[in-house]
Amino acid sequence: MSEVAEVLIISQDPEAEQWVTALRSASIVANSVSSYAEALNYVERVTSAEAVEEMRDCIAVLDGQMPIDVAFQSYKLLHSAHPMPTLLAVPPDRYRDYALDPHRSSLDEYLPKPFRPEELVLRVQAMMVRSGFQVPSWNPFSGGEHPEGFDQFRKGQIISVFAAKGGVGKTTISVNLAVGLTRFFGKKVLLIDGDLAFGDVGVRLNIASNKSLFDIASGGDVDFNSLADALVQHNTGVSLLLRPATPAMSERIDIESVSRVLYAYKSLFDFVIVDTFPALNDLNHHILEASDRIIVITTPEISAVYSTYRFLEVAESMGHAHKVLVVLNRANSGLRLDALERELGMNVDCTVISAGRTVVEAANRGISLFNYDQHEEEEITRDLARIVELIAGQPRSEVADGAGSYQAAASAGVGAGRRAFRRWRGR
Amino acid sequence: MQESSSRPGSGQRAAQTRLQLDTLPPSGDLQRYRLSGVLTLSGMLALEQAIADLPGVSYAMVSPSPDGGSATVLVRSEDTRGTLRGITNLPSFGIEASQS
Repeated sequence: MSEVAEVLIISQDPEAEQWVTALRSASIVANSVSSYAEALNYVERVTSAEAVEEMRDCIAVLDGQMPIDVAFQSYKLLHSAHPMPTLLAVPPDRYRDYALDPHRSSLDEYLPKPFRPEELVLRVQAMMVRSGFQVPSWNPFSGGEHPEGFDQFRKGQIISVFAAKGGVGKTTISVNLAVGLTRFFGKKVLLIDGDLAFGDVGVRLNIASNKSLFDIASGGDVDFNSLADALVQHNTGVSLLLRPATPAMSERIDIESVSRVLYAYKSLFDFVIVDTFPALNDLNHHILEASDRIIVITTPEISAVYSTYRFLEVAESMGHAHKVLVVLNRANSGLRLDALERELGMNVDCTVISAGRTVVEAANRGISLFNYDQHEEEEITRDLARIVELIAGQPRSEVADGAGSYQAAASAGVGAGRRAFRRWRGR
Repeated sequence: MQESSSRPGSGQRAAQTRLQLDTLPPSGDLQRYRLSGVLTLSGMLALEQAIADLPGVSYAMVSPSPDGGSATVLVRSEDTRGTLRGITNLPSFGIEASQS
């Protein structure tokens, strides 16, 4: 069997170029043709003696919505002397016919149209695995240059939650941000415990697993096939990537590969939330560099404000200033907001009231505040919802019935979230 | 011939579908038939290969019309009647010869 397969798309669909871009973004050699003659030329090239010598082969994506004579000629070509695994894109009303077709070829798989480009990529990669080809050597989990089209294709956001000082409520905000984005906005969210030695995301959500970041970032290139295997699915709908089971394992994490892991997951999730360790170490530099936004948590105590100020200086020098959002936790328990903003030299984007007992009880039960206080009777829950809205980029009231009973309770907090969102966008 | 829309309750429809075969005037040494009904691309290719494998057949081609309404089947055979009988007896295609 050949080592590497390229992809031939036979289609007259204007979106075919997007499909090519998406495949190339996953480092798959892909080309599209729109006629039988072009397809014939291509197939002759990839089945030539030279191609066989180079151990190259081909997987085809055939658009079944082309004129039937062109589609059938092309289909015959792909199943002739040099049969090729074929992903047949079929009209949705014909999918059942194909799936139940007693004459279907074992080489064929079917994909109902329309489909998203990333769906095509995953189906093609699965066909490569199934057909015994290597999935291309560059993938988001491995090193090397980003392939052409990668930046266009990746679509999620990496949000790191950082504090310059421990114990300021970073994990509480991370967990509730992740749960809130899923709960209120139906987003596909991954929460990563970036505190490799002592992180407690799993404890906060009452879930334990042997699977962790260690499984995909413990040295060298990351195993593409371990992508899903490393995750734990929580009953809130949030996917979790937990810290390694022991501190010793965390020391074997390949720091260099962490940002590649983040980029990879970013292409698969709407939001990747990283709960970081409160330090400016190599790991955090990689995480902050990869982040689209950095939520900096501080509290109204002079030591926390001082540490935060120093971090903001570093963030500015590293070119991260435009990514930073400042959240003041326990906002009612120390320095006044205006004094704190003066000290920091920048605005606070969101405030969260102190509610120690509520937070502790939710944490002890291993649930988010949104689960603990479902009717949002506590001000802290509404404050956390505003952070969720800020990151989602819209108030919950604008989401069609996804928020259910939470919308009404949240309405009081929408104004502040909207104002903060406008301020953020205005930067 | 292709791509008609699905009908409800058609679990094994592809296997049960009746295809109508009408005999057309021959073209040289090729017998010509019009095939009407629902077939997938893989079904058309399987049919072409099945006809080519019939005894006495030296050439077979299924050619769907561009508008998708029907297909023309071209067959070169030493035994025209036997081939027609063979086509209508192909298992899993359900082909019926027109009475006309």
